[in-house]
Formats: sequence, C-alpha cells, structure tokens
Amino acid sequence: MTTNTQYGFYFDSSKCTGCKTCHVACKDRMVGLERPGEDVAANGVSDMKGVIWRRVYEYTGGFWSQNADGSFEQDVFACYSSIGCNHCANPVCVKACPTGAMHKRRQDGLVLVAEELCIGCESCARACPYDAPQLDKGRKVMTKCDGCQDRLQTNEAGELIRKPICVESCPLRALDFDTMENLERRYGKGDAHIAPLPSQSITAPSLIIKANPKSRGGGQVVNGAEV
Amino acid sequence: MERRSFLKMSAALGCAASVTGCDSSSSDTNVTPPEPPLAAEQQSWSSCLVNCGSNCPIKVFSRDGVITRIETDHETTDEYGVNHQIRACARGRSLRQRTYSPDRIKAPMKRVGKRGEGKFVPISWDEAASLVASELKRIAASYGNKSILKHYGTGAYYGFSSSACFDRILNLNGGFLKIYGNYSWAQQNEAAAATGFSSTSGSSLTALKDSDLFLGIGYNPSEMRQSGSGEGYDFLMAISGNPSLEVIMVDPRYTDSMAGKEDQWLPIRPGTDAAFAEAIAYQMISSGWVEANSRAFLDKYCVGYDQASLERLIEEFRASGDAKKLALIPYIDPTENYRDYILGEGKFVAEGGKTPAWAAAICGIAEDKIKQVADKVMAARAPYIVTGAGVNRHANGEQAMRACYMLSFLTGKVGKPGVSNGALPSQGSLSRAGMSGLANPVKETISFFTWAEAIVRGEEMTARKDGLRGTPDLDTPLGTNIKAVFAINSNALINQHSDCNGTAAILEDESKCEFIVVCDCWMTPSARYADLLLPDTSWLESNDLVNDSYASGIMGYLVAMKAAIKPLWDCKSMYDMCGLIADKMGVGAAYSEGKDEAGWLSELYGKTRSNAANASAIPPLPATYEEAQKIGVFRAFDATPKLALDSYINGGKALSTPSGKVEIYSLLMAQKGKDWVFNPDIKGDDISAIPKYQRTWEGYEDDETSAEYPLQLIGFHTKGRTHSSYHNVPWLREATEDAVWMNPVDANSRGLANGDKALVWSSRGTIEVPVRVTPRIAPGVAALGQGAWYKPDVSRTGPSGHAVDVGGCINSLTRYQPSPFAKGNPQHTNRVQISKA
Repeated sequence: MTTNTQYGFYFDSSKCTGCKTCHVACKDRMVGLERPGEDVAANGVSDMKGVIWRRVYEYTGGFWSQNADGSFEQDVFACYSSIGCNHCANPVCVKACPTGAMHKRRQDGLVLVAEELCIGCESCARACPYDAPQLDKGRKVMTKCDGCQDRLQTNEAGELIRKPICVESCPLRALDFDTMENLERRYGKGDAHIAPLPSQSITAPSLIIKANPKSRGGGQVVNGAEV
Repeated sequence: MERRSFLKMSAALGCAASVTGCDSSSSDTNVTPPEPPLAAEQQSWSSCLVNCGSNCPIKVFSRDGVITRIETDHETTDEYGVNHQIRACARGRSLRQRTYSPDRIKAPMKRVGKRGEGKFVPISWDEAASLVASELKRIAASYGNKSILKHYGTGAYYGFSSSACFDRILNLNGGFLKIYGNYSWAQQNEAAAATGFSSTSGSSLTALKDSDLFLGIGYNPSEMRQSGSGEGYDFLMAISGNPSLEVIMVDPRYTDSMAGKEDQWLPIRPGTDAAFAEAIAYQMISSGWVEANSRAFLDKYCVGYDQASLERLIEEFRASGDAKKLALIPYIDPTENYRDYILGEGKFVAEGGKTPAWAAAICGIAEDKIKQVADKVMAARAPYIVTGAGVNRHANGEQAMRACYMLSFLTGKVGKPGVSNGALPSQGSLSRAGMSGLANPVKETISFFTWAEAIVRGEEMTARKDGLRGTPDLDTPLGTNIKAVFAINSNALINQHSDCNGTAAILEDESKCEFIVVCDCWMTPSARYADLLLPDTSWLESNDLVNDSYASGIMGYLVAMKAAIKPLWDCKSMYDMCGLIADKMGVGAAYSEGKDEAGWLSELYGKTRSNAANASAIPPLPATYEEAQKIGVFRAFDATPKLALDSYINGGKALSTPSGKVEIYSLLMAQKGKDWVFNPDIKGDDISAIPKYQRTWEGYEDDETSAEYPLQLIGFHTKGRTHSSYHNVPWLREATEDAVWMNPVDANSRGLANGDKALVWSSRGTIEVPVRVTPRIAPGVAALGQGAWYKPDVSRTGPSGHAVDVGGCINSLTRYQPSPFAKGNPQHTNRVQISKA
C-alpha cells in the first residue's frame, strides 16, 4: 500500500505530565460530532463513558526497600504515552475488518471508518495494539481518531497551520502532527518504541516518539480505569 | 474491558495473530464522518475562573444559542516567552459538559426539609430577594452585624459580577464579619511574613537560567498549575532550558513535576520536612562551612543565627529609643538561637544535634542522601530552593515552612542571580479593575478556618485563644456567635472544610446558625446545607473582565469575556441578583450607583485600560469594552528575571519585620508564643521564635495514634478538578480516577489490589474509594486527591462509627484543629487505617 502523503503524530514523553488535556479536548470534539443536536439543556452532554479516542497511559515501575533506621531506598519511575490513532503504514485494523469499513485513505494515509459499511463487530478493536478503534455503543458503529481531518488547514507555503485538536490543546507542547516527512525533518526518526508501546514492527505506526529519559522496562500500565 | 489489556507487551502477540483478512485500502474519499457545519457557529471569548491560579481563556463556539464545542487560545505563533498561547487544561476543555450539567441549580430555591437533607422547592426571584433582605435586617438587629459571615469561596474569580456584589449588600446592611487567611496558604503566609517576605516572593522561574541546583520541597507545579501558560509550563521550559541544572525533588509522592524531569526524587514522610531541613543545616554549620562562607551574610542581613546576633539586636533595640522596639526586648532570648538549636549546644544540649542520622529515622530520607544534598547545597554556585504549599498545610505548618526557608539564607547567596529565598516563585500579571465591595464598618476578623467554631462559640473567641483580629486587646471577645452565613461560589461550607461530619452536625442544628445562603451554579455538597439557594450564571453565560488570576505563570493577561449564550433557566448573574436584593432592602441606588451591567463594564474597563501596569499588553487595549470583547485576549510577558529579596539585599530597603531584617528569630513569633494561650493536650500546638521541627498530633512520631491508624494520609491536587470545582463533570471523572494511592507494600499487606474498593477511616469518619497500588507513594503513606464531593450513605456505618462517605471526600477524614499561629487548616496531617471494602 502506498500513499502520496502520510500524516502522523509526534509525542514527547519527556514533557508529558499526564494532564489529560488531549484526552478531554478530543472527547469534547468527538462527542459533539457523534451526538450532534442532542438536547443538552434538558439532558446534559453525553458522557459516552468508556469511549476514549485519545488515551494517556501511565507506565510506572520500581521497587522499594527500607534501611534499618526506617529510611527508604527506591528506584521508582513513571512516564506517560498519549496515543490516539497512529494511522499505521501497516494497519492491522484494516486487515481485520470483514466489511472494508476500516480503510486507509490514499491521499493522506489517515485510517478512517466508512460508517455505512461498519457492522460494529469490533474485529478492528481486537486487532489494534493501540486501542485506537472505540465502539460507539449507542450507534453500534466503530469510531476512532480521524486525524481531525476537518480541522487541518495549510497556508500558502503548504505548511500545516491548523492541526488536530489534541496537538493544539497540549499545555506542555508534547504533541505534534504533520506529514511524516515534515515530522522527521523536525524531530528526526525519534526513539525506539519501548514499553508500554508495542513493537513498531507490528503495524509500522506513523508515530515518532521522544522517550522519557527515565523510562525503562519492568513497569506496568497502572491507570487502566482512565484509558 | 479487553482493550485495556492492550499496550502491554503481551498484547502484541494477540494482535499479530489476528492480522488476517484482505487489504481494504481505499481511495474512496466519500466516507468521512459527518462534517460539522462550522459556518453556522458563532465564537466568543470566555475564561475558566476556578482557583487553580490561572484564568485561562476559553473560546466558546455556539449555534442557535447552544454551545457546540470548546477551544482555547490559539491566536499567536506560540513562541515561548514571546507570545505563547494560554492554553486551558483538561478542566477548561470540559466546560460544555459542566455548563449543561444536570445538577445545575436552575431556579432560586428554599429549603423545605431538615437542613442538609437537600430538599428544596423553587421560589420566585422576588420571594428570594425579599427573604434575604428581611433576614439580613432581622439578624443584624437581633445579634449585630458581626454575626453575619461572608464565607471563604473561590469557585469563580469574576472581576465585575463577583462575590463583591454580596459584599455590597452586606455592607449596605451595616457590615459583616470578614475572614483573614485561606485554605491554601494560611501557615506559609504567616511563616514567610514572620521571616521577612511574602510566601510568593521567590525568584521567578526565569531566574533558573543562572542556577546550578534546584531543590524543590513539596513543589509540584505540573499538577498544581496546569495551564498551558502556567507555572507548570514555565517550570518545564526553565529546567529544560538549563541542561546543567541539577533537579532534586523532595515529596511523599513521585509527582508529575518529576516523571522524568528530575535528577533525583527523595521520598519524605509527611510533616517531617523540618527534620530534613534541620539535618541539612546541621551539615552546613557543623562542618564549619557556614562560618567560612556565609557568616558575614547572616550577620549583615539576618537576626537570630547565633547568640551574639540576638545580643546585638537587644543592644540595637535599646539604643533605638523606638517604643515598639523597646517593647519587644523582653521577647528576645539570646540563648534561644538557631545555631545552638541545630548543633544541640547551649540550652539545647540535652536535645542533641539535628544530625542526618536523627533526621533519617524521622523523615525517611537516608542519612547518606541527606549528607549528599547538604554537600550539593554548599557546593552550588547558585542554589534555587523552593518550598511548596503542601508543607504548610500541616498541624504546625508554620514551623515546617520556616525551617525550610532557613536553608536559602544559610547559603549566604540570596540576592544573587539564580538564587531564591525558599518562597514560591514570583509570577507575572496584568491588572484588572474589579467591583468594589464598599466599606465594611465591622473591624473584627476571624481566621477563615474558625468559622464553624464561631457558630458554636464565637461569643467567647478572643485574640489570645483563637487568633481573633481587630479587637482592642487580646482578651476582648468577638461577643456574638455567627448567625448567618453567605457561602458564595463556596464549597467550604462542608466539602473543603476539615471534618465534614463534625461540620455537618454544627450546620444541621438550625438553632445555631439561623440563615445560610448559598450562591452557586451546581448542587454541591455545600448547597445541600443552604436555607436559600441562589442560581448563578456560569462563565459561559457571563460578560465580565478578568485577568490571569494569582499564580498563572510569567505571562500576564486579560480576557474580555462575552456571554456565548443567554443565562440558562432562571439563573442570574451575581450583579443582577444582588441588585434585586438591594432593591428589597431599599438601597438599590447605592448598590448600582446608577449603572447597569454595560455601564459598570465600561467603567471598569476604562480603569483597566488606563492602568500603567497594562501598557505592555499585546495587542494594546482598544478604546471600548465592546472592541476588547471581540479581540478577547491581551497578553504581556516580562522576561526579566525577578530576584527574591532583591530590593533588600541589593537595594538596601528594610524588610517589614520588626528588626527590618530576615528574622531567623522571629520577634512576632516570640511575642505570640509567649502571649497567646495554647492547648497542652494538642501535641505540637506551639509557636517558637526560631523554627523547630514539631512532633505533632497524628504526625509520623505520634505513637498515641500510630497503632490504631498506621498510615499517614495526605491530600493532593488532582488533575481532574480544581479543589472541588469540576467534580461533577463525568468526562473528567473518567479521565482522572479518584483512588487512594498506596505503596505495594501497604496494599499487599492488606490484600488490596489495583482497583479494589477500600474503606479509609480516621477517628473523624470513613470513606469508600478505589485503591491505586503504585510505587509512586512512600510506604506508610496514603494519598488522595482532595475535593471529591462528600456523599454520606446513611444506610452504612463505617469502622469509625460514621456514615460511609461514598463520595470519597478527604475531609471526612481530616481534623478540625487550627494551627498554632495562623489558625489555619492542617489538612495533610492525618492518620488513617485502610481495609478492603
């Protein structure tokens, strides 16, 4: 599969504080799109509980011991990974989809759902190692990060000046979005994807990571209730 | 749930196995989700006005009078230190759900059940305004204006339609009882003032470019100040901009201000910061380093380091002929000096020195690590030491803060580039003119924290026993109990005050406090205790003029807010509702001064525009408020580092302490320590002239409570709320789980696993919350995000003998015990037990 342009994300784990602004900014946009015209004054804005299009995983590890005088020794670390959809070059969700609803758009490499074809079987969700496909249980269709395709704007020089809402929301400027070519020019190829992220060899994600300097193996994702 | 097991290495195999099916790559562009009809949307500027320290701009999109989505400041090219964007955090981004929350108070309501039951009926605005007017008149006539309290409340930092509108009607009624201090900084404000500065007068974070060592004690800007132009962002930019800076963080939690940004985390037991600081001081003094390097600084700029310093002070005061100074001489005891105390010499010989070995066993930081930190502090060319407010919210937070402040002065480098004084960093601000509350004839003020006690025994409260201020002498009592409470944008009526169950019992007795007014947008736990509920408009329904608030980072800004939608339901702005009340009181003209909302905004904007402090705003403030509302955001960044105590050390301007110098030996503390009355049954209820580590009630060393309650419990500022604001937003509850943090050691020994429901109890109450098992908290310590909403389930009694608070409010566990000097809140001093629910 080849595309002319491949959009992707950049994430700097050394800056991320796990504040969830990207998660909530995305949710405000997506709930508005998924539930347009709901009577918010009468019923409030839909929770869409459990449907989280951009998730922030907290990966934590380290051990403690105590000295004879009760003082501590430890080697604790923690770091965050903010993940929406990586619009992978080898999207296993697309391969897993029995109807062709999940597809990769040729002109920009975004992985999108053709909702009229989706039967809500969740094969894509089971295949994706990043939890990107999120089932809208109300409408029984799969939904996911669409790269904020409606927001993207370029200037006359061809530079992307409006980016996905998660990128523009980030208080620490830990996220970026652009063509992979531009991202590589800006950040290089980045660091290897280590825990908790799966190996890049599975899906060839369009995601450049700057690793957290304290990150290492042996930890675990401790915030299951938040992702 | 199965997807939550992804992002673990084990998940990779499973998905590789499921890579089957055909390649359904598509060039079909006609399959996009529904496009939002952007053209029909309108945009206006609002601002998030909670008490996190920042008032981030909010860009509100609406269509046909309904809010459709929220964005934030994206108006500049976002160059840090030049024009960076003031990006709202997760809370601001959730405002659509918060604004339309089903628990909005939609109409004025009068209580019909027992107080606290939460039973109300809607009434007209006319009836509500008449009720306030008649009750104000009755209560002032029966008990005096001192019996009417305006409570602490920080839920909405408006500039114009603020709670000052209530001040106006209360003052037009003859005045009211005011409070001093606040739930955030009570002890540190007194500790810093006693030492010679303000608790927020530290060097700005831009000064870190010149520093080589950063020592943060309980300093956590990444969680406290989340704004995208806030202190957390400044902190990140400052430390990442200076790669040679070594960052050491001391905290019971491995906070998000660390998470890879630190060189070293030193976990410490809550309430033992003073012991840690004293051991560093011991190393600095006992090694001869202070004598060789900073003795001259201490002699010149400080008083109380050693006996000779205090003897000189007595001589100087005697020679001054100044009556105030002469009166303080009896409070100066040269044997009570800092050096002797730290080294265990002179009158302190029996106590022994405050050695690293002594401190390690108390604070949990190993002896060798304390020595290493001391070595680094001594070796640093420009040490930047800062103590966060978590240290101050303890049983004797005043002494803990002062003990930590001492370290900067012992280095002898305060006033030099890159060095600070231990206080929180100075920040930038633009200035907005605000509504006047008018003059208050009542002179007495009580500590914010003692209000519920003053409902019970205000009559007898005095300066000597209770920190009452504004009385002619130490023993003249307030003379009345509090009979009316106005809680305006305040959840401190129950939720944010210590000891929810105890406070509830006071409030439920309708014979004590006779009239409680709550003005808010949402049905908070405090609102349930109202006799009268007044529904405020939310920010997104308001026209107002606000600035950046009080701890918003170095970028200063103004936001000219314009209502995105009309007031929802029967809500009214505070200005309008107080206008109705003023009319019923017969003081409408004095209240409004002949102006309507537009008139006030125009006047306040005019004053703001002509304020020289705002001359640097970009873009410049236009002629009219209406034009300003179209632009929305005005900003200014002052990149010049501000140095702590610069005007004193480098400018020769005397400090406001009695000696005019940095007081290691505080004359005010010496005086109050002698003159005030303390309770010998309350461990650590003491004020000493020099800072001293205190063994307090329910502290780490309190063996009276440690068997029954083996864990120390601290609160922290969760990223999913600001205090209790935003608790009722489901999106945020999902994004940031409320769970009690426990070290694996403590969780395992109780059979608790991640996500298990647990009961947490103290002698004051029981809560039920999930457990987060994490190595990010020290053993023996539990931590819980403060601000969850108190929700006692009366059908269940917890181990403490109280109804189980299934809302998980930490203040169901905290103790009401005012601190010795500030009479402030000790909400991080708690001992608890935890078991599986």
